[in-house]
Amino acid sequence: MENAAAVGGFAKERLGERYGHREKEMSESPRTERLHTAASAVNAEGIPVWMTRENEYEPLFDRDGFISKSMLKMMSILTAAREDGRIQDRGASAPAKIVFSILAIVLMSCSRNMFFTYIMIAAVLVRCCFLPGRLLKKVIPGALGAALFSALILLPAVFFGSPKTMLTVSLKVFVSVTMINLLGATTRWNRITEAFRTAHIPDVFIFTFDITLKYIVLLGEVCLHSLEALKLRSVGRNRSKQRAVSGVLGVTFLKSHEMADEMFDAMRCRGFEGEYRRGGRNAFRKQDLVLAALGIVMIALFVYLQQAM
Amino acid sequence: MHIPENYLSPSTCAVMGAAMIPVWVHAVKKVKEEVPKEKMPLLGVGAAFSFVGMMFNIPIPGGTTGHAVGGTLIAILLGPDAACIAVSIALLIQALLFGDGGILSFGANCFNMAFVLPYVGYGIYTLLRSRMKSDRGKYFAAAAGSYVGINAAAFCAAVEFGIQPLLFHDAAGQALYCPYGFSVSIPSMMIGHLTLFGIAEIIFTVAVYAFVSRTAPGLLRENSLRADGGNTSGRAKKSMKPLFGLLAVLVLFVPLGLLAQGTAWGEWGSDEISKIVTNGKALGYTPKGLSDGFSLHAILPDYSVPGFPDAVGYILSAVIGIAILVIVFRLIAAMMKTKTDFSV
Repeated sequence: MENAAAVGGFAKERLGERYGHREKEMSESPRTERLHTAASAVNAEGIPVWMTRENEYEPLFDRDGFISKSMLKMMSILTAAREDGRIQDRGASAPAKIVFSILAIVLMSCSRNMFFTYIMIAAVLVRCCFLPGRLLKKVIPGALGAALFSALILLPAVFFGSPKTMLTVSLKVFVSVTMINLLGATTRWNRITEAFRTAHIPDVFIFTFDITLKYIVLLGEVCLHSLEALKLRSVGRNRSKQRAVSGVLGVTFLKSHEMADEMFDAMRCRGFEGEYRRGGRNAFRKQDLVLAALGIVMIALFVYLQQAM
Repeated sequence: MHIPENYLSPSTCAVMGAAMIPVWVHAVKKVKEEVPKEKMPLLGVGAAFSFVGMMFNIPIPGGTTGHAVGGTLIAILLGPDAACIAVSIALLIQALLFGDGGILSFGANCFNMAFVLPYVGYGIYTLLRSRMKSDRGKYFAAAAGSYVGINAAAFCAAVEFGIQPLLFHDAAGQALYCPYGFSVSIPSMMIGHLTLFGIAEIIFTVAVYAFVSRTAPGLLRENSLRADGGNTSGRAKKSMKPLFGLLAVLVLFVPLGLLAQGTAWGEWGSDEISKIVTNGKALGYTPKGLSDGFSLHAILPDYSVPGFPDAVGYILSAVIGIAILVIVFRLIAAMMKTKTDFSV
């Protein structure tokens, strides 16, 4: 705490020296005054008197929470992006996982049998049991929120005589969202874009998607650095906060423009012509067989239970 | 021993719930201090064991059923405060999802099974353990603790049941809530628990305790208290696997609990209570509080899916219950801050 105050005071002092003529409050600071009047006085030990005195400067209070808040937001996005890189690419391949998740969600929404839904819930929950807490925190709260939200929307159904609808739909929403969250939490996004390629989705789309994700991180860093700089230089009261914010955004925009040009050149140099080629990372794996088997069991169960009704 | 909805008057429920609040506060505080972040998921596994144990219903002659609780087991493995929280959450999930034990009577059920049972059981266990140091003494202490614990809990439940007709009845003398006084409720609850259910609790506790001491001694509270704390985390993670294996085996055998046909004493539905025969005569009426009291439809009532074989529904319920408990405690562990001791 004391250190921070000292650094703040120091920054203020330097700013005061540089911009003292511009900001009124600065020139009124007792510290600067003392600098002018008593700079040459020396005490018995040869130390200038102004050095022995306590610094009484107290920066004016300013509501600049927005800087810290934007910084935290940026940080959380960047952390999320970095977490993505920590995902171990071990289990089934991304295309298999995507196909499996979509199949499960479609079957469950088509199923008119509660038993099937319960089996899916049990399966999804058991899968979640084997996730580390760090990933679990990303998967479960979102799914619970979605389920609660749909329960809220369907609340009128309870009063119009079909209370089961609320339960069924909420449970199905819970399973679907958990499936999608699981997919996101256990698969790197670059594997997902590659999987799109396997599904013959147009290159332009994949390219845009890929670059967007990459540049969220790069531009996020630029933005974070500007905010950090702004935070360090913001001492006392800042009367034109809009200018500060627009400055940050402006710098980020200019930087993005520059980066886009550079990327264009770089990719041209490397012979990129807008066509994606498949890497081998999404090749068929042994674990895909497990998912395939699970998928077949799921379809069989679905058909059986649908007939049993 | 799960007291259903409307068997206790709302005022009794309020008193029991209020009594539990300081206990929960104390337990949460203690667990935060004592249980390291890495060991939190173990609480979930403990709760899961308790949950599965309660699904194995054992019949006794006379048509009622009962089950082990396993609160003492968790108390021995993780400490009584951890056991209190684990059993409370297991009971909450049973009440909300499976309709086993009422929502209003949740406080009373927690008082019996999550407070009295683990603390009494653990008290007896530590008392005997300090006298008997041998390996056999350890298991004897666990057996005695679990037996006394479950009987203390059953006795509390019997008192809560028995006090209802004394306090709450209508002008005609018909009880509003539980219709049986002490003279019926105490023997009915205690005969079962002093004999078969008590033995079931002993077997469950000692068997799992022995299994854990053999396969994963690092998880035991005694060993982790003796060892120098922090270094047990890596081992704890590895040694959880046999526990999950045991849980999976137990789940497969869960339908055995369905072999017991009758309803546990004091857990009848409002449709069957008037036909219950005590001392040779049927009750003959349905208490008012039961017929038009508060009721909430559980998602999987009585651990079954309507229209499907009971055994399948039972296994499915066990899987869902266990998975939820494990996830809940994993999430709690993930939200906890890592403790760093800067003083060293």
